[in-house]
Amino acid sequence: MKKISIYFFILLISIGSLISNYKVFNVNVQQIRLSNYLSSGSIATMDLEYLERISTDYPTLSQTVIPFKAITGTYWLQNDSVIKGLNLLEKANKENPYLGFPDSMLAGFYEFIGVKDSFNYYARNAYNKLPNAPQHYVLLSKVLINEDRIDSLEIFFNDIKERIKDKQVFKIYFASAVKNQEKFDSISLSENIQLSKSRFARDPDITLLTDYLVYGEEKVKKLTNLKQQAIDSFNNKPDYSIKIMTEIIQQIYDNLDNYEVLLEMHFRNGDYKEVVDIYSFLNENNAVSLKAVIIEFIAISYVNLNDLKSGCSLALTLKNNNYNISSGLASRCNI
Amino acid sequence: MTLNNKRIAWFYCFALLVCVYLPPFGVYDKASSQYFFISILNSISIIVIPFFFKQIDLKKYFRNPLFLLYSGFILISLLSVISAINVVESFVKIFHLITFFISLAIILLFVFKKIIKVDSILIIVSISLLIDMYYSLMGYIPFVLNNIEYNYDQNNRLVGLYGNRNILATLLCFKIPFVILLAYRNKSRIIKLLAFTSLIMAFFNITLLSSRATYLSIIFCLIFLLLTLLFLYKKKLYIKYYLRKTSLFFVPLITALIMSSYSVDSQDEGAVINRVSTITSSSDVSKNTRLRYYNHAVTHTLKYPFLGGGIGNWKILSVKYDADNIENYIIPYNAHNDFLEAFAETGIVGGLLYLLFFLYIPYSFFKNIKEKLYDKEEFTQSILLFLPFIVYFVDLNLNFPSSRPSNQVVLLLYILLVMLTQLKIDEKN
Repeated sequence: MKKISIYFFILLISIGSLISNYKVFNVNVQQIRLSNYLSSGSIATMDLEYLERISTDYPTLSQTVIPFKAITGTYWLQNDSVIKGLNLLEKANKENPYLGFPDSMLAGFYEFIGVKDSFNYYARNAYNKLPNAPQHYVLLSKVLINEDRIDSLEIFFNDIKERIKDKQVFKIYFASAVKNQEKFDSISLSENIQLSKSRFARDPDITLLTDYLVYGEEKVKKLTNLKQQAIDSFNNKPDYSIKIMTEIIQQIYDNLDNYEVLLEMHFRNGDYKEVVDIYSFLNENNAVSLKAVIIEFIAISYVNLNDLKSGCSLALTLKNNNYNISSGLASRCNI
Repeated sequence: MTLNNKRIAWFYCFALLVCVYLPPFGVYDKASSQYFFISILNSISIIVIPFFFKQIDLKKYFRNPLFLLYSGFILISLLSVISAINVVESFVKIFHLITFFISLAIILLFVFKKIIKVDSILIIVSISLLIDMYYSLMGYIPFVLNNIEYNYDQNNRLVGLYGNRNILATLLCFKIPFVILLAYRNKSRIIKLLAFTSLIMAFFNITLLSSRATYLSIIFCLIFLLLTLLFLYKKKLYIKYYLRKTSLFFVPLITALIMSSYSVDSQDEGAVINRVSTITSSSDVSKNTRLRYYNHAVTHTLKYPFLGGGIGNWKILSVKYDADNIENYIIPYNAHNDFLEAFAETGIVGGLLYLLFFLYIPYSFFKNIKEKLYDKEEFTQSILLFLPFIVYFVDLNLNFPSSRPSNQVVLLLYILLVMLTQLKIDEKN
């Protein structure tokens, strides 16, 4: 009898663990999609059917210990079920009281509906819990901008910029600087522009904001229009477009996107030597974070110029990063 | 082919390893699917076992220290739920512990019944080593074919089935002594040659992966083997025999190191010497981060010595302690030391039970070392069998193998092997 009861006890806990592990497994299947929504900041666009599939009760935390209730709560807040959303976010705060993610979502909501006090409260709460989360820093920056405390914004930014290498932090700082350039310390601003150029050469928003600050908003807008014209006319007048792009680069010399456009134009025009020369120039200046497709153009250019070693090395780097290289390049490089 | 308890035992061990290799079915974290597969296997086994194992002596379980220590740890973990911030997460972890516990109970049953052969386990684990290596080294082939220099930054290409080079390197290192033992116990020259080649490739694979925790494990294994040699020298016992047998560790390792020196530039971060030298560097970020995590876990244990912060809750509590260093919600999910994490989550008693569970393995090795000493075969095999423990113990102290079913499965098979050999020695005595 004793043996039978022990057996059934073991069977019971075994089935218990099966159910528990199944639930965790099931939630884990949903998490890839969920993390995409989270990273793109598009929780509000989740479809309802998917949202209902996410179990918020078991387990309660995502892989990054964000409470699932905070995510569903945010969805409901942004989709006109305010009470439901607020309740879920409050519960989420109890499930993980140290992360500040629910606080940041609540701050975002109160900012949207214009309740300043609540926004300030939750924004500061989020920042105090996790001061190095870029989202939290952005919220605090907004509080400081609202209070017109640009000096504090600069102090916080200079303190955080070395620790957090996140573009959001730089974006809000530069956006504020574009509007209030006279209030910023010019030396510090110029240093920060240089820093962002080395860190976020690829980010179009930061590039645009810093270009506004360095070259002036009007000039940048004019050259952006000219660039568009060069792109549009490339098929009919490739040499003219290349000439325009070269001139633009002479005026705004540190915009990587312009170099990429010029590289692509030279590649499509069959000027492989030019492609390789520009790439070498960029390499010498440490500006190497090019788009994968441009790297493929460079790799092909090298291969066409019979420099198989350089070309295949680039091709392998692309393959390592799960980029589908063209079959021609793959077969030339045996990869 | 009729099913009998021997086949059931063999199939269980085999299926346990298969659970690690099954496709993850689109999960975010592979561990969750592996836990799920293992719990399916366990539940089926619990239902099937009574049909094939008529008499199960429960007293043997209650006399087994491993079983008792782990049961105690689960009990304390259950109690620690009282102090948990998030009770649900506590139960998620408790059920993970139970999954391991049930597997342990089944494995122990096979030991008590003596129905599985040591060689079967060695073969299963050796095959899994070959699979791991195959999927990893496939990523290295383009470098060889195109004569492209391999460097440290490329090692993510070699992660194979595990998605993480540290996990893979540890598992390869853990499985190496199994292959050595297989070659040791087998008289076939082909098997010996195959094992020798696999060992060279496994060590070479480890050098390409550049995992420092694994290098540390290898260094400790070398120290252990050399100390034993010194001991045998002092006792004037079978040194030649011991050297001949342990050469299956030394020779492939040295060969792999030579191969690695030709494959990785000596200036590259991935060169063995450069990686090993960073282990002691005081400015190393990874090392300092770990020390910070350890400090947090110790602080928490001292603050809450009775029931800790609640099992499964360290991932929440660590956010509080490490708030000034966390960026972008990338949190220290584990303390990177499973013992300290157990202490922080379940308090001093829970932590001690967890520590003792692992320390029982070296205890069982050394408790009758005198008897083993006069049987050169027995002694040398025991020394080789101790090596996986060193690897696992280093990993336990630097990473989080207790959260990874892939590591726990091989640990279970290792326990099975240790218990089987121990049982034989006990019976002999």
